[in-house]
Amino acid sequence: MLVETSGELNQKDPTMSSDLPACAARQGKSWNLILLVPLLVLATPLYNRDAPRLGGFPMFYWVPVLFIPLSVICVALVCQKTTETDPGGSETLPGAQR
Amino acid sequence: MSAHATELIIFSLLFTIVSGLGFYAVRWQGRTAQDNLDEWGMGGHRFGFWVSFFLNSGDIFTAYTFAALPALMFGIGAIGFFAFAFTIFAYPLVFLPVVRLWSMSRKHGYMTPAEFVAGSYNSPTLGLIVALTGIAATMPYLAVQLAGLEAVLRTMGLNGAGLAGHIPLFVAFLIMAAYTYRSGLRAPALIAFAKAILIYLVIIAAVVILPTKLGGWGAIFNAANAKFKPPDGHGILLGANNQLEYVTLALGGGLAMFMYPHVLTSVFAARNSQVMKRNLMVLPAYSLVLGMFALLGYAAITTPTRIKMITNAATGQPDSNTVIPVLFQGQFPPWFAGIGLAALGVGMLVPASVMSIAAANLWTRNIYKTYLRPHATAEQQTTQSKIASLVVKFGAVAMLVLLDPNYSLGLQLIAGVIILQTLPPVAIALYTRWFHPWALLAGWATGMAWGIWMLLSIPNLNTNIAALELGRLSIFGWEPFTSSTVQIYPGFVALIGNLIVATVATPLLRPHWYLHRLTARRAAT
Repeated sequence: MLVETSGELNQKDPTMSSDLPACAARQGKSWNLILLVPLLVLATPLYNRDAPRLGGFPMFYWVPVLFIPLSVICVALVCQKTTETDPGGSETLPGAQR
Repeated sequence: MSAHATELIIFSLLFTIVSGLGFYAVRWQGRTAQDNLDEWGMGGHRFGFWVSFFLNSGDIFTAYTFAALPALMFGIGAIGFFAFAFTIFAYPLVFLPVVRLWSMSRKHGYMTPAEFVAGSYNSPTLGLIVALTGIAATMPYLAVQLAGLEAVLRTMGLNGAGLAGHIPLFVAFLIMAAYTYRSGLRAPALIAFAKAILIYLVIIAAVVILPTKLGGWGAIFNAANAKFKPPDGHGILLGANNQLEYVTLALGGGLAMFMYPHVLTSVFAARNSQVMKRNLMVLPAYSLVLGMFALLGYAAITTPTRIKMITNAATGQPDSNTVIPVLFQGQFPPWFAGIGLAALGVGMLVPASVMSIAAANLWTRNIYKTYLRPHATAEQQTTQSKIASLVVKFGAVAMLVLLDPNYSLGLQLIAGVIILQTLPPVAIALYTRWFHPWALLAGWATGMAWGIWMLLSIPNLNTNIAALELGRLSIFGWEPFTSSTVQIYPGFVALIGNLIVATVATPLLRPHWYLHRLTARRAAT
C-alpha cells in the first residue's frame, strides 16, 4: 500500500481488516444505509409551517418528534443485523463480570 | 434571602445527598479506584446497560440543554430547535463509526480518541494535536456548566458582587472536584442516576403544570409568535434566511457530539460492545427531554409578567441562563422549585465531572505518557490524571471569573467549532489511511484558523448563535456569495475547508508514490 513512501503509517498493522470490529462493515451493507433515513428530519422546508397543529404544537415542532421512534427503529434493525452475523459482539474483558 | 429559604434548604439537602453518592462511588461495584487509570478514568470498563445509559445521557445533556438552549428559544425562537433535531439523527449517523472506534480502542487499549489517532497513523504529533484540541474545547464547555450552575445559585438569591459573589459557586465546585478526584468516573456514573430521576420528575411536572397554568400549548406558541416580530427574522418558524443555518448547525452539532472527549469517555466505559450498541439505540429517547426543555423557553415568554432575567451582580448584565430557574421559581411552589433548581444544578455537575476526567485522560495518555514519561506506571498515570482533573477545573473557573460570563454561549460556540476540526483525523482513520498525517494537520490548522476568524467576524456573537451571512463569506478576499443574506454555521464551513486542504495536501506530500504509479501504468500500456 502506501507504506513505503509515507513512513508514518502504522507498520505493525497495515491492513484494516484485522481491526474490523464485530460489526456490520461487510455483512448487510445495504442495511446500514437505513441509518441515514433519520437525516430526513433536516428537510425543514417540508414541515416549516404552523398548521396543522397537534395538541397545540405547530407542525414544525411535532414532526421531529415522530423521527425519534424512527431513529430508534433504524438503529435497532442494524444492531440486530450486525449481531446475527457477529459471534464476538459481546466480548467482555477478562475478569470483568458483574 | 429569606424569600428563598425553602428553595435553599431543599437544594442544599439534595446537593448534599448527591455529593455523598459521589464520595461513596469509590467503593461502588466493590472496587477501589485508586491504583489504576482504567479504574479511575474508565470505571474499570465495567459499566452495564443501565449505568452506561444514564452516564451517556447524563453527560450529553448539559447546562447547554438545561439553561442556554431554553434561553435561546426564549430569545430568538425556532432556530434554537436545531439542538433537538441533531440529537435525533446523530445516533444513527455515528452508530457504525462509533462502534468501530469502540472496538479498535478496546483491542489496542486506547482510552482517548487522540490515542486512536496516534496509533492509526503512527504519529504521536497528530495525536497530540487532537488531544490539545480536545482539551481546548473542553475547558470552555466546562466553563459553560459553571455559568449555568452559578445562574441557579443566583436565582436563589446568592448573587453577590465582585469575586465574593462567586464564593457559593467555589464551594459547590470544590465539593465536586473532591469527589471526582477520589472516585473518578464512578462518581458521575452513580450521580447520573440521581440526575435522571430529578430531571425526569421536574420536566414531567413542568410540561403538565405549566400548560395548564398558561392556557395550553396552543396559547404558549401563540404568545411566543406574538413576541417575535420581523424584521429580525426570528419567529416560531424558520425564516427564508435561516433554513440553511438550521441545517448546518444541526449537522455540525450532530457530527461534533461524539468528538467531545467527555462523550467518548462514557462510551468507552461500556462493559462490552453489545451494551454500547444498545445504548446508542435507545439514547434518542432522552432527546424528548431536551425538546421539552427547549420549549420551556416559550413557556417563559407566556407567563403573565414574562420572565425577567436576573441581573448578574458581578457584571451588571442580565444573565440569560436564569430564564429557566426563574420560570421554576415563579410557577412552582417553593419546595418543588427547590427540587427543580437542584435538578438543574446536579444536571450540570455530572457533565462537568466527566469533562474534567476526559481532559485529564487526554493529558495523561497523549502528553505525559507519550512525551514526558513513556514508562510511567499505572499509579503514576492515575496520579497525573487526578491532578490534571483539578487543573482543568480551576482553569474553567478562571475562565468564568475573568471573562464576561455572558459569553457562555459564545464559549460554547467556539468549543463546537474547535472540536469539529478533529473530525477528519479521528473519523477518517476508521475507514482509510489514505490521508497523510501532515495533510490532516494542515487541514486541521486551516479549519481552526478559518473557523475562529469567521466567529470573530460575526457582530454580536453573544446575542447571535454564530450565524454567518453567506454574503460575508470570504476566501482570501474572494466573496463567492456577495450580498447574500442567507446564513450558515461557520463551524461547518471550516470543516469543509479542513477536508479540502487535507485531501489536496495528501498527494502533494506523497509525490513519489503517485509518480511511481503513473509510470507503472504507462509501462503496462
